[in-house]
Amino acid sequence: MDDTSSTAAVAVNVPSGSTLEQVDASAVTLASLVLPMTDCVLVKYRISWRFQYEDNALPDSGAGVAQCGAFIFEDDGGVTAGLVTIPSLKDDKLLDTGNGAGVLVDLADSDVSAMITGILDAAASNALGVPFSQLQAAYRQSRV
Amino acid sequence: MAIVAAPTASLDFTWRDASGSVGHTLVHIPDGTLAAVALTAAAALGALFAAMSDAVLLGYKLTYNRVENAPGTPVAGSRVEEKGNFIWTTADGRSTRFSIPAIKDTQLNTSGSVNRSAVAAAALIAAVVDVDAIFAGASGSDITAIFKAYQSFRRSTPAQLPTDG
Repeated sequence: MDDTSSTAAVAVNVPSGSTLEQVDASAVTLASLVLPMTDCVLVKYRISWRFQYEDNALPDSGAGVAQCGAFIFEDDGGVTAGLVTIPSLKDDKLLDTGNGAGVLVDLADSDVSAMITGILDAAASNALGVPFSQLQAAYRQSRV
Repeated sequence: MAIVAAPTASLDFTWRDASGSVGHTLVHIPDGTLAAVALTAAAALGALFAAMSDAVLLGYKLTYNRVENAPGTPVAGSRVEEKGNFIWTTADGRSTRFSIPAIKDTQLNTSGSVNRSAVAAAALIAAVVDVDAIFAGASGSDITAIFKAYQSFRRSTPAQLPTDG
């Protein structure tokens, strides 16, 4: 960050097979070498791994990305902890009869239950680190 | 001053729908999760997510965040638009680069090139090309030598312009 509070980054690549510990240590080393060379101050750094799917052609049709599936999770005390959204939620993942038809997610759907289990198995949490304990609610929501 | 880890790392999945619009699914995981474990989980989650959506999954990014909890005060007059550009050659014969914002004048020659003999510049170059360092080009190939190093100025973005002008 400079004197005007504008920010800029020093972006450096490392092999994708590096461990977090290796990259973290190298980032600290690099920061210690860069800081004497700049009039800015260090405010943060990020370590990222990026993966790209090879088969990513445009879909022919379907729901737009704003038509999301909103999956709200609670912590082990029953308090709302966080949200995971799935853009372009398929229509067939919604209840088609009864109260909430067309809006509520069909929790009996095998893909839905597998995804929820996968999220919990991944030890997902909110940004503050409060872990998700179970699903609280799931419905379609337009998130423009 | 200390670098502290954010409580969580993030998995950011990127989607694209039939109109070309892009959306994201963001999942937080504990910061202590090993990257290899997180990436395995990301691959599994990607397959589970893909079954739920009409959009196509383009890819995902795993990010660990580190924050300086007491950053100092920038030098008066410092501007990120003033760059020290470092261009490197890699073991596979390609090049890679990064730039240091608001590079100090003490690291420059009068021509604007980086003074590679200046203590800090020499230390940086030695560390980056060290065979034991993991710094690499976009292809993953090891950085082996400095190719060029010079000062340049970038155009200010609207967000970087003074607000009291």
